[in-house]
Amino acid sequence: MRTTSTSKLIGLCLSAVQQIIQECAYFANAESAFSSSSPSPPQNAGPPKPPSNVDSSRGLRLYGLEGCQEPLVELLCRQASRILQLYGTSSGDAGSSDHASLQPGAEREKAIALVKRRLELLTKTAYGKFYAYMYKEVPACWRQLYTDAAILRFAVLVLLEFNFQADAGSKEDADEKEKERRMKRKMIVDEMVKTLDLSLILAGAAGQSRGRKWVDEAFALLDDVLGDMSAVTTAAAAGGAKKGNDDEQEGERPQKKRRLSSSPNTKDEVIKGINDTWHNTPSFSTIEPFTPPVKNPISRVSAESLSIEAFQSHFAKPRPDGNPGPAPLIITGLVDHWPALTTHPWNKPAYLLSRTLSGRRLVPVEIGRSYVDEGWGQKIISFGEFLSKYIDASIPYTPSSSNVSPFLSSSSSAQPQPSSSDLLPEKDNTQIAYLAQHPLFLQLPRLRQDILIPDLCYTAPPPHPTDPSQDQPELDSPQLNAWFGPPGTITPLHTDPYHNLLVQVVGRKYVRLYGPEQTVRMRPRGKEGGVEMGNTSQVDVGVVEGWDKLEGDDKEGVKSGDEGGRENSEMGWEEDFNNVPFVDCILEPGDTLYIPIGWWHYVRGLSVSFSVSFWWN
Amino acid sequence: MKPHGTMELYATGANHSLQLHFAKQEEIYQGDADDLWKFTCVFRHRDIHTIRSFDSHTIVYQKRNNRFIAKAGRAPRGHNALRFVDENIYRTFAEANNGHVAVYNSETATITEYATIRDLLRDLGFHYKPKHVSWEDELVKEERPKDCRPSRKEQFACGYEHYHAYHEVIPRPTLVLEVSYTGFPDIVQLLAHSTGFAALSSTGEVYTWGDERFVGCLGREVSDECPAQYPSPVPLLSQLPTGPVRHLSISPTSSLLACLTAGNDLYIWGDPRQLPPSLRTLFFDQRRAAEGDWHDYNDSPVPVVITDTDGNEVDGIVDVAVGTEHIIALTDQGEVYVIGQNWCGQLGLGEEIKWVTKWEKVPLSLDDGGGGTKKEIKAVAAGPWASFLIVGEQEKRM
Repeated sequence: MRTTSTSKLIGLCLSAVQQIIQECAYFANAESAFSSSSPSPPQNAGPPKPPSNVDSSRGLRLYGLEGCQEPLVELLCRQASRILQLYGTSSGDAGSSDHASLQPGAEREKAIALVKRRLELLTKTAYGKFYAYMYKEVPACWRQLYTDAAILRFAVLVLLEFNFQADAGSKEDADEKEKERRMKRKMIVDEMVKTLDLSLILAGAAGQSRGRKWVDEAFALLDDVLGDMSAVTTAAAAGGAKKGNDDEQEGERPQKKRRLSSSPNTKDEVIKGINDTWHNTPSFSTIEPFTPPVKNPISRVSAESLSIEAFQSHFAKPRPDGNPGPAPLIITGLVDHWPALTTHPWNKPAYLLSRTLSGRRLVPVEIGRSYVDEGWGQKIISFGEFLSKYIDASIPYTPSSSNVSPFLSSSSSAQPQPSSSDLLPEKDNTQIAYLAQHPLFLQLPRLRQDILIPDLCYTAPPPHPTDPSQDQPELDSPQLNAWFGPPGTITPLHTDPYHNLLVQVVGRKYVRLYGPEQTVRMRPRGKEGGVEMGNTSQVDVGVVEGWDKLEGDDKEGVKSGDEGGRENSEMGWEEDFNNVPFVDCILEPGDTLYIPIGWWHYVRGLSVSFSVSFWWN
Repeated sequence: MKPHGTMELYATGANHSLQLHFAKQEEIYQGDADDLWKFTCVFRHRDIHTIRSFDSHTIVYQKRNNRFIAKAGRAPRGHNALRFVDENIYRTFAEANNGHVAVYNSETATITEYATIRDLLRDLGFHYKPKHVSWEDELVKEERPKDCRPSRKEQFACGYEHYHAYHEVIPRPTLVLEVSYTGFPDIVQLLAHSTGFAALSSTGEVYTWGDERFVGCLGREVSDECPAQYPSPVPLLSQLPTGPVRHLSISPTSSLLACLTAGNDLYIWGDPRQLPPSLRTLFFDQRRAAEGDWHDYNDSPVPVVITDTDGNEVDGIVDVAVGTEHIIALTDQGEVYVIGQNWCGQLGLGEEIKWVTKWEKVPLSLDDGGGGTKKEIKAVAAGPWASFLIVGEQEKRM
């Protein structure tokens, strides 16, 4: 009854559990108090012993968890052992069949609940560190502890709670029961996705031996498993009209084969062949509520006439105004061949949903007009909810959870993500949500396959023209970020410490750029709330231009408030700002904008818009 | 003078490392012990005074000489090393959730902050040796140097040979791993919150310092004169209607800070963004909340009013303790009120209750020990995910 992908997923979980036990084994052994007294309680036939290679690993090989407090590592290890033990005693599933004793149902439920609670405690403890440290200084061990706890939590769901029997038949069996079972399964799947996605988003899925690689693989297998199950269900629905149960198993066969034979790429092609559902589906709306005028257009060049050498020499070309550093440039036709613009159309909601486990995958979005506005906040929601609630209301999606807690347990402590946006009542449906500056392609490798790193990123661009302190250590490879949102998203005037190729994939965006030599006149912010904001301007371009109205009394385009207020008093800044030269453009789908390092830029989504930025140096 | 009778320690909450289990561990270890969902008597001793409860272990001190009496659970290596090196420092050191560690030396009137516990250990002249890898209590006990028992007032100071003399700890703010602040002659409490520290002087002055991103935890303005990183007084706490602050209660894993005044009023401050919703409500002016103004929270200390089930105000809060996601308070009537999350039993309200968003009185029945003497709760304490009651014989009230 089990499909190959199901067994693979179970195998993956089991191997992670065993690996965690092994890696923590040093502690399990070193602490005599626990291990000497831990021989199995009578009712549980022998918990899995720590592997015998422990003595050889006395050299403190903690595989990245050193730094976390030792008792917490032990705690993690004990949960792994417990999962294995419970799996061994689970009914029917012959994992390790020597566990004869079956635990009574209620006791087993309780044991599972306890494991989950322990894992919750571990993730909460690790999560507390994420906040307590500065973002970049969070010790990797805590990120790994979070990730490993999430992996174990996923293993609990897969090994102990999920019913893989795609019970398609039983039509005459009361529909109620079937519905209930389906609901339960859906909830568990949502929980699986949430567990792993949070480890990706919050903890960066840290860890050498498992980490991101493991999580990616688990997601790929989960996709297959769900595909199989829906295939069976569909087949059952079709076949059920004619015949009985036995045929339904047959309906599953072709699916199974395709999975066995496939490498990711060809698989995509096969899926495309079989299930090319999105080509006839609607695209995102191209409606633009507001289109600003372009005053000083940036020069455009076709990709055909721009070789890497030509681009490299562009860096050395003096700017028309004589200021140092290269000038911005729009390159057309650079990405025409990207699958994202052709065979795997990102402008089709149906396609994006098909790449996100039917919209189940979670993404962090920014709520509010611009990140310098009051009331701006971040939250983690499912991609499907993001699409239907903030991008296009016509996209059908029933949100499973409107606000995801950063902790793993869903029911026991359904807490909203602690963010300032929660402090606002949920009244505002007009709020803008922006999936901004998120390494989406690390999180969703299948979307990563739809784009290619432009060759132009393999050039050697110059350092910052005026401020060497901005220069960053060389990146190993370009840094990719996704920018996806409805009309009206705003990235306030700011500057980045890298050269940037901003590729417009879906919809249109307005971009305005000011040269690095204008930094002082950009009115950079200072430290705000303990966070250095010097790369962001106090000026709201939209307000200065009269495109936007600032909420509240103060119509100046400068952030009011204690700090800003003082500087506000220098009159005439607005006039001065209006005289600062700039260039601007509207990016069309397929356009690539080169933003040289240090250039201040203001970006405004005009329609539904999806861009990818490539930072390099 | 020998204290009479027996005192009891009641506990509830997370017990994953047997940190609530004071009996010999071999006797009870049965896989993973469940959490305690109700206040349960876990320890008896003739003199129980101070509880320090960490992520995975709990330590009990008595009043007399502040001596260590018992430990439950598993202590991390750094903690065992510090206990081994200097029990006095261990008893009073503060460790924030961002790893920073602070100690106070009253002889030199100096607060010293270290980047990590390892830096403190290094400063104390401690280097890990293979034998320290083992973290058995026996070893710590055996090898602990001769007792050093300061009076209560001297608890922070200990003329220890490894402890640096005054001339060695003049401010060294240029060092990344260690900073000293001098001129704090009468600190009686030094505690950590999630991203920094707070200290209380004998005159009721509260000093806070730490990460500027969480300015709410400082409870004061940050300015060039009073930077976030330097211990600076919280002006609003020095002019409270019911007298000076006499007690601080802070958890190293929480961004909520609490204090009690001489007149037994409870004040809190902190960063509600980091708190569960059940505690966040404490920060909002009810009137403003009713008007839908949820965005601006008070980032300076606010008074907390506890009401009983009839809606009557309960005053006279004599003790308070803060956990990661909960608060426990003791009234002068001997009643215990809790608020916050209860997912692992930290409120002692039973397994069915996941959290309470309003102060809830904990139903308690204290064993009377058979001797017919009345018992009363002397103090409350909290660990990250646990609560404690210290119970003793009733004293005659005025």
